[in-house]
Amino acid sequence: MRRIRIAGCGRMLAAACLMLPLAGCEGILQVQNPAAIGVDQLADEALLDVQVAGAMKALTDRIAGQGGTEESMIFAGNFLADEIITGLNWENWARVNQRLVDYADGPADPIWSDISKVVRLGERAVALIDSLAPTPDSDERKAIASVVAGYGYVIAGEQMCEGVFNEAFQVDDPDYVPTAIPPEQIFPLAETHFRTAITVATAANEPDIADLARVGLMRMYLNMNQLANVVTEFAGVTVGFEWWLEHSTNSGDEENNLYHELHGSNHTIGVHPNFLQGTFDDVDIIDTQTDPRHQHASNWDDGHNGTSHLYKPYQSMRFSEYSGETLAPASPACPACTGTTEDPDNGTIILVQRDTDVLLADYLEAQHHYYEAVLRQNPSDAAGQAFVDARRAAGNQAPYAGADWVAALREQRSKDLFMGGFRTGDLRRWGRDGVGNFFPTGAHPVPEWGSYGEWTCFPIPLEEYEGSPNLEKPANPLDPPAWF
Amino acid sequence: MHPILRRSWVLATAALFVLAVGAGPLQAQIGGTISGTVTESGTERALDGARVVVVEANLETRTDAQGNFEIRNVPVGVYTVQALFIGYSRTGRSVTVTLGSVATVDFVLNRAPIQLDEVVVTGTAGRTEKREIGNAVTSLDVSDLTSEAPIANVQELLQGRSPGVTLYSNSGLAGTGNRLQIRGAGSLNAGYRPVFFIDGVRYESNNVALSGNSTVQSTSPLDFMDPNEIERIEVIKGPAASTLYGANAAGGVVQIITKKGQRGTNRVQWNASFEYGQSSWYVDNPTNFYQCNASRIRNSSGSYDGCENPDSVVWKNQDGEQVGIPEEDIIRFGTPDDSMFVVTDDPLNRHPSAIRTGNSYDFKLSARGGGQLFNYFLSVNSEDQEGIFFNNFADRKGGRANFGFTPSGTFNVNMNFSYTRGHIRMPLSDNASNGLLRNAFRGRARARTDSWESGFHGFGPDQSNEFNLQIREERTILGTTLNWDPFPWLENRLTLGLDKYDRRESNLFAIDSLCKWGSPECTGATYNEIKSYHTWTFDYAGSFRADISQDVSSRFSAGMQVISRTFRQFDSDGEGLVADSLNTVSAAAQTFGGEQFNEQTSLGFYVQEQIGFRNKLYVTGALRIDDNSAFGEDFSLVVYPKLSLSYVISEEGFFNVGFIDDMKLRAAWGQAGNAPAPFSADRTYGAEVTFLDGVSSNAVYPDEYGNPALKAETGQEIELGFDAALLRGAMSVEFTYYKQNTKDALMSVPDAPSTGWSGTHFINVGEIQNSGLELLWTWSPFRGRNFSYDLTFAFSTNHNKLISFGETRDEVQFGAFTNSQRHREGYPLGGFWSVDVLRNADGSPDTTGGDVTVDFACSWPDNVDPDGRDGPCHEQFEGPATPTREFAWANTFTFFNNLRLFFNFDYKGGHYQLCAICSIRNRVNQNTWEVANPEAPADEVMFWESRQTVTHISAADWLKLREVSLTYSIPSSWGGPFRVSRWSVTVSGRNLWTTTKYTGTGDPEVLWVRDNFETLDYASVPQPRRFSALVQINF
Repeated sequence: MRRIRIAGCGRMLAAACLMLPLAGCEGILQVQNPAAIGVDQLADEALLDVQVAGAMKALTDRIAGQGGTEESMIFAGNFLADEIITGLNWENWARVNQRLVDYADGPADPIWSDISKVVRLGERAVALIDSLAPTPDSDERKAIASVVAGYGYVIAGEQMCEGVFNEAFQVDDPDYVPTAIPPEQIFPLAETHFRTAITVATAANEPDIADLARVGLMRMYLNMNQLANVVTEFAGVTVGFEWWLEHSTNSGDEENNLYHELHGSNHTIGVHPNFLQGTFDDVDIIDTQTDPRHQHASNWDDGHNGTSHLYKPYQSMRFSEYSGETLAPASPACPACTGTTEDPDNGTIILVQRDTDVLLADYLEAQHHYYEAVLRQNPSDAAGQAFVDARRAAGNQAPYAGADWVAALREQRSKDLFMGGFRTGDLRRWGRDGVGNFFPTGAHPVPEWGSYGEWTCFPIPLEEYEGSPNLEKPANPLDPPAWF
Repeated sequence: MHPILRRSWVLATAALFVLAVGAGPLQAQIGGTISGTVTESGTERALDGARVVVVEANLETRTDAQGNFEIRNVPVGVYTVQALFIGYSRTGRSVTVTLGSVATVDFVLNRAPIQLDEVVVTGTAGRTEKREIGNAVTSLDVSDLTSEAPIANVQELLQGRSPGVTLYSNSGLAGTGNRLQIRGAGSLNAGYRPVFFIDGVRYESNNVALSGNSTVQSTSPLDFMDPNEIERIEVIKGPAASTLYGANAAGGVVQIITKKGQRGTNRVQWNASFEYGQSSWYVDNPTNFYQCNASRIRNSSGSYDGCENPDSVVWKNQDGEQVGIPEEDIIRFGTPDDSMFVVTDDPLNRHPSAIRTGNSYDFKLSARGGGQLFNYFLSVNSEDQEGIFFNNFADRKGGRANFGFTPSGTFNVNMNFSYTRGHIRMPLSDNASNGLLRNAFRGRARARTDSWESGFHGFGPDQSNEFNLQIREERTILGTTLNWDPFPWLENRLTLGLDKYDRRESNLFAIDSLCKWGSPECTGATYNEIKSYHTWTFDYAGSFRADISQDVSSRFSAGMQVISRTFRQFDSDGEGLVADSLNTVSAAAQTFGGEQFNEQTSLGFYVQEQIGFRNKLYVTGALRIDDNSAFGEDFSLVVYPKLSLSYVISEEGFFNVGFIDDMKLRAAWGQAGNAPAPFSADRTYGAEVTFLDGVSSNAVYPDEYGNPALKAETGQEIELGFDAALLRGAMSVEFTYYKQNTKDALMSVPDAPSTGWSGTHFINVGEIQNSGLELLWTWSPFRGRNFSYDLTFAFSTNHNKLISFGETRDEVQFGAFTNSQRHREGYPLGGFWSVDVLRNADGSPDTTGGDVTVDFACSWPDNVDPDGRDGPCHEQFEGPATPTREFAWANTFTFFNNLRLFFNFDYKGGHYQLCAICSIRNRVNQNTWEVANPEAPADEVMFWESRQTVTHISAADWLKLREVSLTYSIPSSWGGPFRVSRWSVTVSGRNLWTTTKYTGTGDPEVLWVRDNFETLDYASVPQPRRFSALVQINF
């Protein structure tokens, strides 16, 4: 082989020549990301609408599971209460229905994530509208975004044991130390947003949004035990007001999550014995189903886990295809009963469908907030008692003959708002206010699970602590909190 | 097979014949001929496939099955002719060629398992011999392996044959992709895997998961490679060796070199093979029990009718539907009124459509040859494999064409083309609600008439087998490599390539009046995903060689690589197919669509200087600079250095150790990277749709939290070792010690949900350490004409430890069904921790309050039980989740040079496993003997029914008799008029025997890996036992 000698400096020069193109190769590394929107791009007036819609979408997901999510208030968010039992095979979720909550597992993370999303998207949209919209104080979008943020705080107070609320990217700062706050400090955070929404909606001539904000405000005050304020706000709510969270069959993304939980062999929820119009484990429960507000399939079948006996719930008053008809036929005991052929999917009393809408708020809910405030202050209030009997009549019940009108109202509230996402918050409020502890106790309806635990709310999940390392962990996150 | 596909494959086969035959002798007689034989010293065995090179004329060929070779048209002159074969010493002879003459030269090669002159792929241009390299490189001669062992794919090829390379089996289903890792888990991120190159072209090798369906096993792109097309595989194991490959190579590099023809052969060498095999289930199944006690017997709800009236239970076996539980399946306890008995069941084995014996058919045909200026290798293959489930198969059809053109002694072009089609059907498995094994293991022992099938927990086999998910794949690899050596001191190589991988996943649900699959599937639905991966390679490398003095040589290398990868996915779904004859998306009542895209480009440059001293001592230093589109905007270039030393001490005069033939000492230190995933630095929103006031409205949602400061993690490694040949080639030892640290480790952490984002993002945090030993020992204690014995023993250890989280967090807990795994400082990544129930002083379970209490509470790093119970945390470290030691022991006995018996053992140990389904069977299904036994103490039953994991996490060491084969080579004289040069018949078996410490279910080798390190045993499908018969013909 012919050999040559190359000086060391020559080789270094050759290396340097090869390195030179590095500076000019930046273009090679330019890649496209056509599937996402950069954060900075959203500071654009033309994109305000989609941000407000995004905030409302997040709220819809939280309440009713639009998009097929399983952690909605109606579903897993209500596992702690006594409306439904679950037949989920995922034990870490099913145990929540037994009031055993693990901050590192189960639905605590998706519930808290959804609540945070509602708050963040709502507040961010308000801030951008303030800075980019030509007339923010009469902009309908600001009113909607404010309502969303307000409801975010109300839901957080009802469902979470504690909450932590940061600006979006504060946790990136290694010196930032967030603080967890309890429900009594969370609820008041909603007030400013609801007040803003009422003011802006009134200026924009959007009475429905103003009504929605007022009902939200009543719900907040009720949870803060400020009963006089509840009474005051009720005066402004329009009779017959309704605000629906909407679903549609037009897109696969638009699905009420309950649809999935009720249909097919893998269905996962059934009516809790407390709301069953018959004896648990019995079959052919028809004649006793005289109250149209919390009806269910007449026979149980096993759920997703192959173990739990589930009576599928039919649509209650919070759902758009509620018919008011009863499974029970007319009888001397129930002359108003209608009777109907049971057909889970196609009858007049039906399971939730893909396009079933869910009430976020309505006048009936406002009435319940109002009369609870009234009767708890004065159980002899005639209007309050008349409201109780009117609601009993709606359920084919005889007028109330007892003395505890507050308890009677609580019963009607539970039926009127059945599976509307209120129950956990109601039970916590009544416990917090000293009315009583009505959370389910003793043996769980699914014998294999054993007895109920003691949790009444969802803890801040492990994901929050891991994503925000300066947030101080509780001494033992597996212990249920001492408060409701 | 579809008729069009069948026709295409037939056409491809025909084309191969035409090409091969047409590419026969093209040269007129212009010189003389060199011919002869190459045999093995001692045994006189003919060496099939040995390279014979006429050095000065730049001609070469390979021997046939009888060891014969012939090189025609050699110009008149005097030449050095060399014979080379992996595992044997190079031998050269001087030959004089005259016009029209035939010069005969026979070579007898001595075994030399350590070949310091062997040329290996290093990333630089030109030939690099093993003696120059300061790190360990494992070379697998695949052509030798495929002829002695039943190897179906590249995954099996790598299994247990290269110390330090660990293959984790995800499932025994046909078509399943396994996980490959080299030298342990160097990252908290799952992406720490080796990168693959095929003939220099980057090959997409990560397993492909089925979008949206985690209960169907992912498939492996490596299965596209037909092992018979591979000449050799080189494994470069760690950052010390892979520096030149840059920001994606910290997990190691696997170079696959496919077969080539030989110039000057002037004839076609054909190889055809046909293999038939059978796969079957061979592991024990857990028995299901069901306790019929008084309350269940009296229960009238119909839930437990097996207890109420066992004589009326309807169940199914091979003979069809049966009524009444057989007495032999009932354990009675002598109660007077028969109010207590236990029913037993093994539903998987008794049911006629649960498991089957799967057939496989494998056909391969190849041709290789070459003329004066060109060479070629052509092959086609067809493989059809049935799984042991009725709705599982994996078929593959493909071909390869490699052409080489050498117009001059200084320039050559190699063009490689391969095309493969795959068709796979995958069942639901592991923790699928409607999966077969899960429902069999969780069944209630026929004591209960289930919704679908007695004895199964939900769907039985007839229902599970309806699951119809099919994957159709196409893969095309195009590569061109130009080598230009204008001067002996200057070498250039340019590789351009494309790896194009397209697949369609189609999941069809027929209309089902029973609505077993739920809605909307029961209305008839089809879900389709079309995925397309394109990976482009541009790789230039140049080397200058120079002598600085008589003793000192220099080799300076530089290069540039661009790897660009795009991924695009289209989703198209249809629901409501209305009639059974419809199965297209457009025919459905409702249709849905979607699209995903990502892109990643890396750019790297390197320079390397190698100084050689008297061809014995080599010092190499290198620097690699990388940039990557996935790095954050706050981060730019990354620089990786490397330094290595190789010293062939056995060639020193002072080295006088009689039993050592050759010995090389080596040491290497280097760094390489592991780049984050595409777009993982970007903070983004996504778009979706919602409804406001009944009107469809576009909306946005927080999508990726991202990390603008994201960069590649850096693996840094030092390795020391030696390669030695001993006892005149009868023995070889390759020993390596390595210590590897990963800094700025990429870790996926949750987005703090309070930000509004709720996924995960990567951060660079902490440090991970891997260290271990690797030993490859070969020994041929007997080598004779009538009998020889060869053994290969590969042993490795790996000790993995999380050194630090960089003070950013305490620990990470995870695990399926229970948080039993941890990333905790000072412990191996993903290690297992168990929890027990609280116990009394005498060790019995504490049942205060009427039940046992599992003590989960633990607050690391305080290590104090926050509940104030005595002592520290009650959790107990059990051990690592990945093996700490492995060995493979291969044995080959050869009788009379034509009968060969091969078998090998495979072992992994030191790791632990969680049997999640054992826990679920106890506490949820209560179908184990511990719980169903009516005579068991009550507190013990409570213990088993609790969420304790102390009995369910166990050592998972296993030893398998992996492969056994018997090959008989029929003498060539039997070839007769067909010009057959060699026939061989092989019968073989795989997975024939297993012993294990593991106390869970199924096959201890198979683990369901859900996410990164999260592993568990949850009704995973075991590796099947496979028997096959193979006929190979060379002519």
